[in-house]
Amino acid sequence: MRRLLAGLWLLVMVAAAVHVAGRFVEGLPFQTDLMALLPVEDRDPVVARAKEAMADAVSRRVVVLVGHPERTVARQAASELRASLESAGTLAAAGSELDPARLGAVYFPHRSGLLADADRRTLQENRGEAIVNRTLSQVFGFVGLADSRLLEHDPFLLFPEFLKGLPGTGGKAFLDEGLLTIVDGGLFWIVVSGQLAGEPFALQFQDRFEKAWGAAVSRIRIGAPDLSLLRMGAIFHARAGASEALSEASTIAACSLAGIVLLMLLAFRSAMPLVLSVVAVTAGLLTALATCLLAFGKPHVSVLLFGAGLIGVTVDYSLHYFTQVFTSRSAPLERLRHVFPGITLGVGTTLLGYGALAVAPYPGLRQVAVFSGVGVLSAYLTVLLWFPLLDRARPSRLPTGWDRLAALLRRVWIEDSGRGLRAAAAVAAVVVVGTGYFRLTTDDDVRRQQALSPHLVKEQAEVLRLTGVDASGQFFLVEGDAEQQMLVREEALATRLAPLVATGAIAGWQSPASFVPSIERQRDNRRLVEERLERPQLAALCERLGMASPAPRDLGGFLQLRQVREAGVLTVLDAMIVDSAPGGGAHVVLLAGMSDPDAIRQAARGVEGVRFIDPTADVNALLRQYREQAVWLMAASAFLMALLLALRHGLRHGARIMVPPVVSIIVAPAVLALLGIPFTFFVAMALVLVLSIGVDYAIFCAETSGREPFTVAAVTLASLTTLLSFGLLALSEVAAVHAFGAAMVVGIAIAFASAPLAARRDPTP
Amino acid sequence: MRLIRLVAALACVLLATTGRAEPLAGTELLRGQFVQERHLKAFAKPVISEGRFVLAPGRGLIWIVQSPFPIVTAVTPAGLLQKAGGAEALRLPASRVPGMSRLYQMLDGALSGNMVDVEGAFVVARDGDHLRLVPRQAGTPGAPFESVTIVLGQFVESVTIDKGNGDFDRIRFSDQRPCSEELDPDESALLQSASQ
Repeated sequence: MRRLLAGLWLLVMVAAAVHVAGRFVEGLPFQTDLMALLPVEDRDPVVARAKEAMADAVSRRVVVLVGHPERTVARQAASELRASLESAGTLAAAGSELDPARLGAVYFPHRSGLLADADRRTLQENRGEAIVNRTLSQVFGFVGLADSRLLEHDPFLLFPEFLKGLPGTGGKAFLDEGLLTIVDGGLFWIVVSGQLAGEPFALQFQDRFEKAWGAAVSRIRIGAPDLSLLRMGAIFHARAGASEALSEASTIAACSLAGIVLLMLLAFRSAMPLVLSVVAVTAGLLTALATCLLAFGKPHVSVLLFGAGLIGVTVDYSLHYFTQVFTSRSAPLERLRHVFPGITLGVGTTLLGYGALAVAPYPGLRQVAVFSGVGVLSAYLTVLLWFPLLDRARPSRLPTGWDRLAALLRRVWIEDSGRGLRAAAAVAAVVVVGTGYFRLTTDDDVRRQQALSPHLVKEQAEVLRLTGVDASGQFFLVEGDAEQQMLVREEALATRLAPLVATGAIAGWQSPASFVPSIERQRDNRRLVEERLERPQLAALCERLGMASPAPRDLGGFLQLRQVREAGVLTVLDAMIVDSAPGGGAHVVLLAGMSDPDAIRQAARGVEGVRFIDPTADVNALLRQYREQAVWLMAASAFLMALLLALRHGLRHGARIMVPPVVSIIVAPAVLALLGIPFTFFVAMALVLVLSIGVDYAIFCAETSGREPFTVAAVTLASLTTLLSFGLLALSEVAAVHAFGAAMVVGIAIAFASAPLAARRDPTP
Repeated sequence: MRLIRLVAALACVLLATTGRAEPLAGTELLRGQFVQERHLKAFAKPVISEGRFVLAPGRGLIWIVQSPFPIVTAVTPAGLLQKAGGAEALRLPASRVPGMSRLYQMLDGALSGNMVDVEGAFVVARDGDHLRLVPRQAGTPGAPFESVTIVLGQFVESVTIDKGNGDFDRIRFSDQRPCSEELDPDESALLQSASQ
C-alpha cells in the first residue's frame, strides 16, 4: 500500500515536471505587469492599454544631453552620437518631427481653419487690429518674416503663428538649426532623444545598446574630452539594475546554498539527510509551480520570488524528520511515526494560514496562497511517502552542544528558575513594541522600493531640470465614440488647463487636438477670421502695405488626424492615440512640467470622457491595499491556527503554542521600526511567512515537550537554514528585498528563541 | 524664419560700423537716420520705412521706425524686444536664439576692429567702395540671404540684402554722427527691458 502510494506520488511528480518543462520551453510563462495584481473588478481594459502604451513609450525613451561651452563642438558631438546609435540599430531613426519645412507643407493647404490659441483669443475678444499691427511690424520692422509668397497666401501671417504655437517637445529646449538646444550655465546642451529600437528589459538588447553606447561615447570624447553627458531613460537603469540584480541574486543564492549544505553536513555528518531534504524541497517547488501554471495560466513573477522563500518552510519537515537519527530509532517508519503528529499539525496550520490568503479578492495573494499551500503539502507528502523508503541513514549520536543548548532554552522558558528571565523578556518585548510602534511608519511608494543607481538618478534630475519635461508618468485619458468627439473633448480640457499654465501648476500639454483641431473648431476659426479680420481689416491692410488685394481665400479641406499621421511628420501623435477603432477610441493627453497634480486633476473634473491617470499612484494604492489586507489575513490565519491547535492540545496549551509566532509577528515590525525600516507590503509578506514558519517551530516543541535535545536541534537547524536563505536578502541594495530579508531575520530569530515556550509543562517540577 | 531677418538686420548694423577707419571708442554712441526699402515680389512698389537708430557699443542697438508706422526694436546681448503701436509684438531672449549671441560676438569684434569672426562666417570681397559678403554656409537654414552688398563712404552709405527669391532689402543710412553723450533715459529703459 505504502509502495503503491509512493509510486503514485512519483507519477504526480513526473507529470508536474513534464508540464513545467513544457511551459518553459514555450517561453517564460510569467506575468511581469504589476497591474495584473489588481483585483479584477478594478481593471479597465482601456485604461490598462493606455497605461501599457505609455509605459512602453516611456521605457523605450532615451534622452541624452550633450553639453559643451562651444556650440559647434556640442552640436558635432551630439550629431555623431545620434548617428552611431542609429547605425548600430539601437536607436530608431529620428522622425522628421523636427523638420519645420515638411510639417509646414502638410499643414499649409489646410491653413484656413488653423489659428494659434493666442490669435483665436484675440479674435474672440474682437481685437483684430492687434493682428493687423503685428503684420505691419513684421513687414516694416527691424525683425519680421515678410516673405512675399507667404503674404500673398496668408496676408495676416496667421499660419506661421499657428506653427509656432504647436506644443513643442515641452520644456525649455528650442530648435536651433535643426537641433534641440538648451543654453544654461555657459554650456550649450544639445538634446539627443528618441525611441529605442529594441526592448529595454531584454538582456540581449541591453548588451547591444551598451556596446554601441560605449563605442559612441569614446569616439565623441576623442575630439572633445571635456564633453558633459547627461543620461535619462529606462535602458540605463535597466542596465545598471540588471547587472546589479544578477550579481546580487547569484551571490545571495550561492552563499545561502553553500551555508545550508555546510550546515547540514556538519550537523548530520552524512549526505543522506541533505539529499533527501533537497528531494522534498524540489518536490514542493515543482508541484507548486505546476499547479500555479495550470490554475492561473500566467502567474505573476513575484509569486516565484515569494515562492523561493517557501524553501524555508518545506525544508523544516525534512529536518524535523532527520533529527530522529540522533535517537535510538533506526527504522525509518518508526522515525516517521515519532515526528508525524508534529509535522502533520504544522502542515495543517500552514495550510490554514494560506487558506485565509486565498479567499482575499487579490490575484497576487491568491497565487501566493496556492503556490505556498501546494508546495508545503507536497513537501509533507514527500516526507511521508518517500522518506521511509529511501532513508538509509544510520543512527548517530547527537553532539553534546545540542544538549547544552536544549538545557539552556528549557531553563529560560520552562523551568521555574527562568521565571525572572521570562519576566525580563516580556518587559523587553513590551518596551520594544511600545517604542517601536510609536515610531512605526508605513511606506507604499513603489519608487522607493526599486533599486536605482544614485548617479543615474542625479543625471536624470539634471536632465529634467534642464529640459523642463515631466517624468511623473501621469496623463489624461480621453475617451469618445468617434475621433471628432475626442478632439472636441480635448479642446474642452484645454480651456480648463490653459489658466493653470499661467499659475505655473503645469508647463504645458500635448493632445492630438493641439496638433489637429476638431472640425468644429476649424469651422469656428474660419468664421472668426472671416468676420473679424478679413471683412473689417483686409482691404485697409493691403492698402497700407501697398499690396494688391489677394484673391479670395482658397479654403482647402479640413485638416484630419489621418493626414498628419500618414505624412509621418509628427511621430509624437502615435504615442497619444491609444485606440482608434471606428466605434470609439481613446487618446492620451501628455502633461509637461507638472508642479501641482491636484490642481490639474481638479481642473479636469466634469469634462466628459476625460480621466486623470496616475500609474504610480495606482501602484502605490495597490501596495497599500495589499499591505492592509495582508495584516488582516494574518490575524485571521493566526486565529484559525489557534482553533486547530486547541482541538488537539486544549484551549490553554493551544493558545500558548500560538504565543511564540504571534509574539514574533508583533515584535518584529517594532524592531524594524527602531532600525528605521518602515512597514511596507514586503514586510507584511515576510511576516506571513514568519507566522507559518514560527508556528511550525512551536508545534515541534509542543509535540515533543521541548525536552528532547533533538527537537531543539531540529528547530535550531530549521531556523539557521531559514536565516541563511533570507538573512542574506537583508544585505540587498534593493529596498524591498532588504526590508523583506530584515523582517524575516528578526521574525525568525524571535520565533526560534521563544519556540520552547510552547512546550507542554510537565506536572512534575 | 524670424532668425533670418534678425541675422540680416544685425549684419547690416555690424557692417555699418566696419566702414570706419577708426573703431568706435567705448563711450561713444553712433546716431543716424535710415530709409529701408523692402522689395517684395508680391508688391507693386517697395515697402518703405524710415526712422533713426542709436548704436551703443557693448549695450545694444535701438532701431526706431517712424514712418509709416511706429515700430521700436531694441537688441541687446541678452535679447530682442520689438514694439508695434506701443504694444509688445515680439520678444526673443538670447538664450533661445543662440545665433544672436554669435552675431553679437561678431559685432563686438568688428567694433574693436577685429574681423576674424566676420570672416569666419562670410567670404568678404572688396571692390573699391563696394564690399560684398557671401555666407560661407550657403543654403543652410541659418544662412539668411544669398549676399550682402555694402557701399562705403565715411560710414556705411547703404546695405543691400539679396534674399535670393526675388525679394531684397536696401537700407540707406544718412546723417550718421558719433557722439559722446549718454543714452537718454527712455533709450536706457528700452535696452533694459529688452535684456529681461
